[in-house]
Amino acid sequence: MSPAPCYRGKILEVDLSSGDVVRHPLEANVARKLVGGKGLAAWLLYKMVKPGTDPFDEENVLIFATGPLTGTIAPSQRGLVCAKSPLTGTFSDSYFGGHFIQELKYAGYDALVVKGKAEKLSYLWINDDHVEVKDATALKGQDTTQTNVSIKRELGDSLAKVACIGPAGEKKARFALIDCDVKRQAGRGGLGAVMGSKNLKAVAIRGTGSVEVAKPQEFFETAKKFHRILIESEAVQAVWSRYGTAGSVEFSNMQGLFPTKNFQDGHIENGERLSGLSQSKLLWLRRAACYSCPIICSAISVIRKGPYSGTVLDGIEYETTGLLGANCGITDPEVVAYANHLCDELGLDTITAGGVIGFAMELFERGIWKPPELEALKLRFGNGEAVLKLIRMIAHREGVGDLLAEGVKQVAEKVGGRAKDFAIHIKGLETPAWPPRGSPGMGLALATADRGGCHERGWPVGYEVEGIPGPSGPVERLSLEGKAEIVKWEQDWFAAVDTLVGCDFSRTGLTPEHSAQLLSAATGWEINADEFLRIGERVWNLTRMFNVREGFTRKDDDLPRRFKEEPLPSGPAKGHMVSSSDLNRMLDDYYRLRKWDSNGVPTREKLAELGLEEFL
Amino acid sequence: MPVKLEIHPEKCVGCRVCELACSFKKTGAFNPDLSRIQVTVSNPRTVMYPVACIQCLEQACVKACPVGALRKDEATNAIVLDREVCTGCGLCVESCPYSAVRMDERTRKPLICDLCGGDPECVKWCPSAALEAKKI
Repeated sequence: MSPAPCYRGKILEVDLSSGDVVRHPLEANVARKLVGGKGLAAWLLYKMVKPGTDPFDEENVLIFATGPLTGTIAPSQRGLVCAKSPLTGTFSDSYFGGHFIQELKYAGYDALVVKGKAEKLSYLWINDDHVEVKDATALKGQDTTQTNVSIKRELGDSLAKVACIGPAGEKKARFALIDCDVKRQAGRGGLGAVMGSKNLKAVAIRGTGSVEVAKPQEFFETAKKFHRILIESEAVQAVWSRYGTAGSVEFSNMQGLFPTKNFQDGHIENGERLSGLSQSKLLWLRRAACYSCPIICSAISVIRKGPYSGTVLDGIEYETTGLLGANCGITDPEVVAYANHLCDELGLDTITAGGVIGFAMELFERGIWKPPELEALKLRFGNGEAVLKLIRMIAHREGVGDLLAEGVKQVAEKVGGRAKDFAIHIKGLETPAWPPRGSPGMGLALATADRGGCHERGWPVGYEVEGIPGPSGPVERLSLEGKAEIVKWEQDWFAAVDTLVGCDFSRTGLTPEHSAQLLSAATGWEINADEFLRIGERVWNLTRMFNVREGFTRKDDDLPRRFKEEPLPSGPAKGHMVSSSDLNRMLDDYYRLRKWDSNGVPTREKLAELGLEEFL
Repeated sequence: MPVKLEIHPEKCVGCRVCELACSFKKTGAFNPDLSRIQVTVSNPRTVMYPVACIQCLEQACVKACPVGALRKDEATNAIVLDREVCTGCGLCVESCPYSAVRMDERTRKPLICDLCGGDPECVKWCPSAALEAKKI
């Protein structure tokens, strides 16, 4: 019995060690209180992974989760994968577009939990009720596109949808990604390495079942209205649709937020060569969208000139222009596009890859770390050839790539000395392309994000720099006032949308009211905007409790030294930084608002108020 | 009013919302496997191509049907199926030169676009004008 018509009512659990396949019912109170997606995955992870478990131990679990709206015509739905991260040791969830997760729901499951470790390289084949672990030794070393195509050919089913890892995942590079049909990446946190640690090359799914909703006509008409809102919104067009995420390059570069040369600066000369407008002229072939999404932020692209010409890839996302581009001192779109392509095919997160290579470049230029291999590569900022070579070495863990594959935090520890002063990561996750020196609230958001340095758990830049009014009105860009309130509001809203597994880009046109309406029509429950945000807050506290149980507290809600001690050298926020006292002031405000204690631990009262106790 | 489904594949973005709209209109639930329109998506996505009945002049499916269960409806221009008469033999699926007819193995009846009675739902949802109900 499903908790509501829009759920399939089943969680599929596969143990790769024993080969056991179990189908658990989706419990009604879990669905009602945690809804799905991030909430469901966080609860499963909390319940199943003992504190202190090594992320590469077979006791870690890999969870693919759907939400109540997954597989329906609700606009802009994504999928999520979750595990304890080998980069951070925290709760880690990574989101992906495309068509993969819907297939899991059509096959009859709200979530897939993979436990244990297969004896040899394997892939999982889910064909509605039929679940089978199949031999994947022939796929060893194949890149992501090859793997996707090989599996469909072997299954003789071109309609199956595949999520897979490349060589980097097999080698357990700690920032390996999972490639999800078609070419959308669950990039952050190294969940592809967890998949590799389980000897799981891929998951292939074919589902032919229906997803129902409680109030079909109301749901259908409401969804139609919301599709129109997104299509007609000038903001959605300007920020996402017209030039994709890379449409933010000029804004960011002008505002001093564009990560440049391992985050030394916030502006790079010729940065506009990487912009969406520039890409649309040089690289684009045609526009592409994720499942049921009218925003259409992607563009299939081709490199048209130079040594990499003929390479077809999804257009360079903003984050990738920032990290593999400016952060490595590169503004040549063809080089960044090819670096992006290599990461996608070999299976590496472009954000962390750019972070770790930019870090190595700075260490090399400062003479802190000069192994002969880096001398031979001439690893200076702007050296695109060296970046491409290093990406291959990291993915295959060759030479110095073996260490770089561990991520910035571990490289800093191994190199020692002053290296840690230039290590740009938070809780072990390399910082994304929205650094905080010109946007202090962003600093608080990065410091408190549940999976480490992440911009998709709260994005105060919109309020601080673009001037969007916060829940209590407009805020001043460089002031600390009201920033904790904005961060809490953003995190709760993001987390709520993540329980539906809706795309965060849709928040540009759709409010919590809109989400609550769709959720109500799908489930038949009466949920208003406040209750919807409350769900987000509940889930945010649950992921915090996972991290607290792993030993994370206030001391870990920190920023890299550079952001706290080195003033921004240029741009409108020149001379600014988020000092330790600034950060502490915002953390005090934030914990107070959240009703967490001064060490950043949720209070019993808060957990009781949120009704979380039964899940802990 | 009679219309013709015009497909502009160069405008398709591969979001497959047409499949969702179609399956809901026909079954009251969401299931792309039961949609009368199917979007072919290659990897990488250089090809994104919606496939559905385009009310062609050949009418190979009508000619192939051994029991006369398919006919052209003059009022809407759609090919319509008489489910009572259909034996589920599958010759219509085999005959269509555009691969626009699929078999629903659950009911053993073909899935073929009936233009929603002249006002196709998929067209209303397409965000990139890849689908058009052209008046004829």
